[in-house]
Amino acid sequence: MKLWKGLNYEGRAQYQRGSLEGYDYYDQNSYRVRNERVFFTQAPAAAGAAPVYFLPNTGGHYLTQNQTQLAWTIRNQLSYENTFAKKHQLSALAGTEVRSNFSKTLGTFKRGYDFQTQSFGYVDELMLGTTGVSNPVNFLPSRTINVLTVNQHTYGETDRRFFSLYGNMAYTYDRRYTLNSSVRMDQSNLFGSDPSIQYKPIWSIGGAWNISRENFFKSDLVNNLKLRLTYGLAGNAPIPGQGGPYDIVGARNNAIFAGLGTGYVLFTPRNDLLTWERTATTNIGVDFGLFDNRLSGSIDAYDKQTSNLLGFVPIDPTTGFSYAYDNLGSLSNRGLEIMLNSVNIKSKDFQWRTTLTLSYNRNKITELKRNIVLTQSNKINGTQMEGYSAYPIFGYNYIGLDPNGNPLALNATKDTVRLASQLKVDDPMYAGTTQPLWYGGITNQVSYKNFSLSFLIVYNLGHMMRRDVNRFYTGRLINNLPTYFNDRWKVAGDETKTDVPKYIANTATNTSSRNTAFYTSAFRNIESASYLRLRDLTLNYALPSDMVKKLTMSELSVYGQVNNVLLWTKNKNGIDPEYFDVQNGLRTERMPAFYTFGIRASF
Amino acid sequence: MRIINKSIIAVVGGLLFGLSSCQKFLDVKPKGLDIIQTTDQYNGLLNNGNLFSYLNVRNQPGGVTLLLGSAEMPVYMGDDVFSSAGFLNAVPTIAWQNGFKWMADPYQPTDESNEWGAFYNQLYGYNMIVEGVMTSEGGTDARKKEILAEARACRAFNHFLALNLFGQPYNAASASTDPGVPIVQKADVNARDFQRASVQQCYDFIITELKAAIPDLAAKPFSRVRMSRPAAEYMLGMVHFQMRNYPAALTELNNCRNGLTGGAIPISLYNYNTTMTAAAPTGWYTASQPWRGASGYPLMYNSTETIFLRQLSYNSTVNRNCLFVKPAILSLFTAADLRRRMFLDKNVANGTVTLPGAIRNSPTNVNLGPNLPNLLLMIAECKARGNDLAGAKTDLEELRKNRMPLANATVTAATQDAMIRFCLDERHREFASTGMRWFDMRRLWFDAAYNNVDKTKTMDNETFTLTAARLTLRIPPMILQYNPGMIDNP
Repeated sequence: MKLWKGLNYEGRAQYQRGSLEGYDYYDQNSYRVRNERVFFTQAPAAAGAAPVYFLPNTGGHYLTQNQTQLAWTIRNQLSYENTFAKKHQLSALAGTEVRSNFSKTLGTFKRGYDFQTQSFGYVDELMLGTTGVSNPVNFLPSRTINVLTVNQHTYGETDRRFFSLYGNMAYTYDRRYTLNSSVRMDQSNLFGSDPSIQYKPIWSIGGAWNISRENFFKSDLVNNLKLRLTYGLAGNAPIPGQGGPYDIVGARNNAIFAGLGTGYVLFTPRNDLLTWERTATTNIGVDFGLFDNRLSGSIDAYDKQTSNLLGFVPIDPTTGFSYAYDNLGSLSNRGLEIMLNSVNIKSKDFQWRTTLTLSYNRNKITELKRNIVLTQSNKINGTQMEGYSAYPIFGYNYIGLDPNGNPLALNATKDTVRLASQLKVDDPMYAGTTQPLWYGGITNQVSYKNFSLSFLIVYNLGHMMRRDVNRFYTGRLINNLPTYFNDRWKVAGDETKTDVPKYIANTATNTSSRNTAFYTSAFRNIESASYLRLRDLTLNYALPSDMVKKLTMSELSVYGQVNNVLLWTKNKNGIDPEYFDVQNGLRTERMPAFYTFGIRASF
Repeated sequence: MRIINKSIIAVVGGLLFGLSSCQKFLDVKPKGLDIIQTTDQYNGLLNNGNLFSYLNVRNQPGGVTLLLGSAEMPVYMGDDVFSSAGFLNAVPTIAWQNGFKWMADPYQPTDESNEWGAFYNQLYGYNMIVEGVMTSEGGTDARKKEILAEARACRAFNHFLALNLFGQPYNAASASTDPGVPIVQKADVNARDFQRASVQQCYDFIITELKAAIPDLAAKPFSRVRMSRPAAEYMLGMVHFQMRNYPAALTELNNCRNGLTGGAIPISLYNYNTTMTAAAPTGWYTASQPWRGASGYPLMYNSTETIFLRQLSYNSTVNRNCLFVKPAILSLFTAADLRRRMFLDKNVANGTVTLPGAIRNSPTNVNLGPNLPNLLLMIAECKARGNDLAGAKTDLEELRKNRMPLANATVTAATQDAMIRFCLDERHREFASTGMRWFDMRRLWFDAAYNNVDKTKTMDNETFTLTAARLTLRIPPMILQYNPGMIDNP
């Protein structure tokens, strides 16, 4: 709605409703029903007498679930845009957003339900839940009296409400210099409208300089050049209700305490020291266009420093809790993002365009609160630690087999070791990160008259993975084995030909005499996970437009597409790193190549 | 122009309305969750089914609790049991297997010790009450004080049990320098570097807290899962008893006994002459299925012998048939003693496997807290040690006549020495293979005249020997890792 010169109002409302209904029915002859009944039945006192049933002895279990969800959003926004004296361009925007998410769940459970007549049996919940059944046909692990603990009904309701204020403003002078800023504040109904907990603003400020519009800039080569610089501070609030200045409790009744008042359990302990997670981002970018925009793109370099990271950490059980939601440490992310668009060939019948995206990211945990001393096995298992990438990978300095076919490794001081207990935390060797350093894609589009061909190549480079070596060296064979098992040490002398440990049937001997992880998690068994994949290739033929018009259509084309066509990997073992557990060295199911043919028609 | 102005007013007005009413919109409290503030809520914290059992619960934020296991170590470490590898090795908790063997380091570095956790994880809730109930809303002063007293007494008792696993046994001469356990008096997840107080400091804390709690508690027991004055008096008596201060113990235990009658719940002994001779519904014992033992034994929170429940479940030992009562202990039972029916060398599931020894097959829990049989046994021993032989005899017989036919219940111990020994044997008969013995082992070790600890036990052909150092568990390695300054036990 236009209100005034350049001032606009926009209102938007959204309403969503969803529901889910379902039921489960277990027949009276099902294992679940009969098994439960046995625990709540007393055997007949004398031969020929009837057993005593405490649960309905006919009918099955009938469970229903109902879920209703209701969500709405209302957004009010004022925007202003105007140019004064031809040189001052101002745009601003401010708005509020109100959101509500409401959901309700209802579950019922009846025993002795007869599906046909829709009748159910009666159960004495209080008696079965507190006094219980003595001398039952079968015992629960407590072995004396069986108590029924399955809840009959569940009812839950959650109502989460949010309110946000946001705004941004940009001023441009003479389409050359731009200054912009944005701010946002959020609040929710979860524990306190205390401003110290909520209402923390997120903001950013930035400037841009469009060099190509300067008078001194005269170039036939460069037709667009713009420099950008932004700095922003984003906050991430602790999840409301997950730690904060209050102990949060929830009501839980227990029949054993009947008559003594509503029971409460502690949901979340108070944590006064919890603070906001803070991310400061600095971004420098340049946008450019060359040769009449035949080559255009942008290059951005960013530096993102996150401090007071929020997450769950194990803590001393002496406090009463084994895990706490806490500020863990700091993380640094630095990277580059490049995008290039190029029109390689442009003629009447023939066109070829290329789009390239290239990203580089290197992250490092700069600080990490640790309550327990780091061990060498933590490193091998990929635990996050200070001074390394967020996804580090370590390996043992494996040197091969001894004359008995058992693995040997070196520690940091180059002494030969045989058991994990002989290793210290500094002994595993750092091999890199399991997260790609370079990633992106290249799209090419070639068209000739009515034919067009496009293909996308994606790539991930610079990261490492564990090789999928054989991990079975002891115990009973219960799974299929990789063929590498054949390469193991079998007879004396094999240690010169192979570095794969021998098989020892007795598990206890295996664990006491050696550590096969020296081999399976060896540094030499970590290799590059880099790959490049031709993700898809599409050939399209559009029928000539005069012909299509005769069919009273606006477009008619046929196309064929191939997905997951070609793969190039740095590893030579046939591992597809995209479908691979890089930290543990396990293959997962691969997406095979697949083909699509189709006709597209528009009227 | 007028039209436009009107719409501006409407929009601006709408925004202002939005801002002022947003506080109301956000003030809707999320259902199911609450900030603790009323006296009733503090009272409700005590109505928690996880509090009457010594279970290691992994408390995770978000109200998610994961049951890790019962604090069964004392049952395994008793000197009244032996085992066999085939059965003991089936116990999934390696620490318990090691505990049975009296090994120096039962816990692995990654173990979340059930025994440490069970006593400490309940303290957060008790400390919350201690810190907040007096300033809570909506309760009378007396009510707040009662809830406070209940939390303080429960907190003290947890420290007492932890101390008797991880602290040195009480020895007056060295208690002020012997390391005890950390005293936790604050509900604080940010607390770090816990230090062990001395054994004397621990006992001083426990006694001070219980004494402070007693006057404010309900005079009579009103629930077996909630604290009352007699229950706290029992705890105080038990603490003195464990410190071998028998006269002080007797005073408190007598106070407890005098407060038991006239409450809302009956407290009385079960008469095994009826319960252990008849099948359900009148009794607990099915003669045709002796391997089930006292299978009808009521749940601990319903048992009339329970004054206040602090339950230790040991069903891992029963269901795995892994701890057998030593023949020397079984020989203490006379044929008429109906408690003997709870022990049989048959597996509990169906009685088809003959075991290397007799296991306790029922019940599968013991009340480490206030209970009537132990009250009578402690009073009798205190009286015997005070040379009140007639008094000791009366109390012993009150228990025994409920455990066997009257004719067999008579106590014949002519001297003080014989009476004390009789009391100790009676404790074996009442509590064999329940973990209660562990506390007696620590109490009697330094009692020169009555140290009846059996220092050896066997597993098939292996023999294990108990030393004084192993009367104290080493601090679990995980706890030491969190608290680098904490000293370990020898």
